[in-house]
Amino acid sequence: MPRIVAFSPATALTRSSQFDNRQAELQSPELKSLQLKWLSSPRTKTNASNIKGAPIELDFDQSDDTIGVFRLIDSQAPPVFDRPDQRWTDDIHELPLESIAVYLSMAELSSVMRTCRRWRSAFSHDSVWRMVYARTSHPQVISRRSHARSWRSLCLSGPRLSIPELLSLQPEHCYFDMTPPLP
Amino acid sequence: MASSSTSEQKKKIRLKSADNELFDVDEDAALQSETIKNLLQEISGDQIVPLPNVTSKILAKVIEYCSNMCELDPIISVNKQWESFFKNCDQDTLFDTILAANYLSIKSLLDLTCKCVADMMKGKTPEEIREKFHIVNDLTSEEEAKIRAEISWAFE
Repeated sequence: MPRIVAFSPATALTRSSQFDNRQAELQSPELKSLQLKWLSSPRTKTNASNIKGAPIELDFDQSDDTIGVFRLIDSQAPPVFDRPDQRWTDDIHELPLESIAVYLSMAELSSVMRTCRRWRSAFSHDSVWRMVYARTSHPQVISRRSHARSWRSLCLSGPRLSIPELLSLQPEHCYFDMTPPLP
Repeated sequence: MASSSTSEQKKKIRLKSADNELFDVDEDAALQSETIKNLLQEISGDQIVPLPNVTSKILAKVIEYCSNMCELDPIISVNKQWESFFKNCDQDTLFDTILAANYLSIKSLLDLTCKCVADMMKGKTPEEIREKFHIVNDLTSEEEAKIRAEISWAFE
């Protein structure tokens, strides 16, 4: 029958540290600097014996729930990603995606959207689709619905708009019908 | 003579990166950034322009690009050199340069870097794009089919 032993938090910490076989020299300096250091509470009196085999006794204030203080030794370092290019997945929303999508065909954009959920959501943004609509056959449709004269003349000037023209479009200047055309 | 050579010297603007490194940049090059142009209107001429969103590594590259653009070389050949650089640089540098170009509002650099990313995606299947950008696929086959169906009208 296994025996269940209950420790106070402070004792548990001390006991667990006895079995901590991590080698400090294997850890990188960055990791060391971010490790949380355990500082004993001012009211905690520690009588840990160094004699081999002797039990470690901890005498602490029973009325005090605070068993220690966490202190971050160094200032917070910038996040380190496990994989060098993980940012493309995690921070894709930070990029001006319409500027990337402007160089892609619809088939290529479809492939990009089918890579993962984050990319699907990122490349489904209005700004991307505004550009896609304007670049394909839709400027003529959009221009007829627009109340902005400049936008109307811009669209009617040609079936395809240049990249600087597309990116300088003000969203409030045009109305976009996102409904797919009827077959 | 000395005064004339001083007057001929280009006016310098001092930029400060996110990691507090200072860069003295020709005014012509610095003013390619709309953000810097706007900031200079707000602060007095001799003050340092703080750029808290750009690290020194990336700012150095951006300044080099802007300086190249101001030179007399044909812009097309300069652009080709930079396109080749961005195509061969690591993806982290490319990512940071896009963010910097967007923040600094340097249109030509933003277009160039975004084109490089688009070229990395061009003609590739979703699986190939995932491999290129180290993306883990979290879409089910049903979801993938749904996305394709949603924009099927575009292929008609």
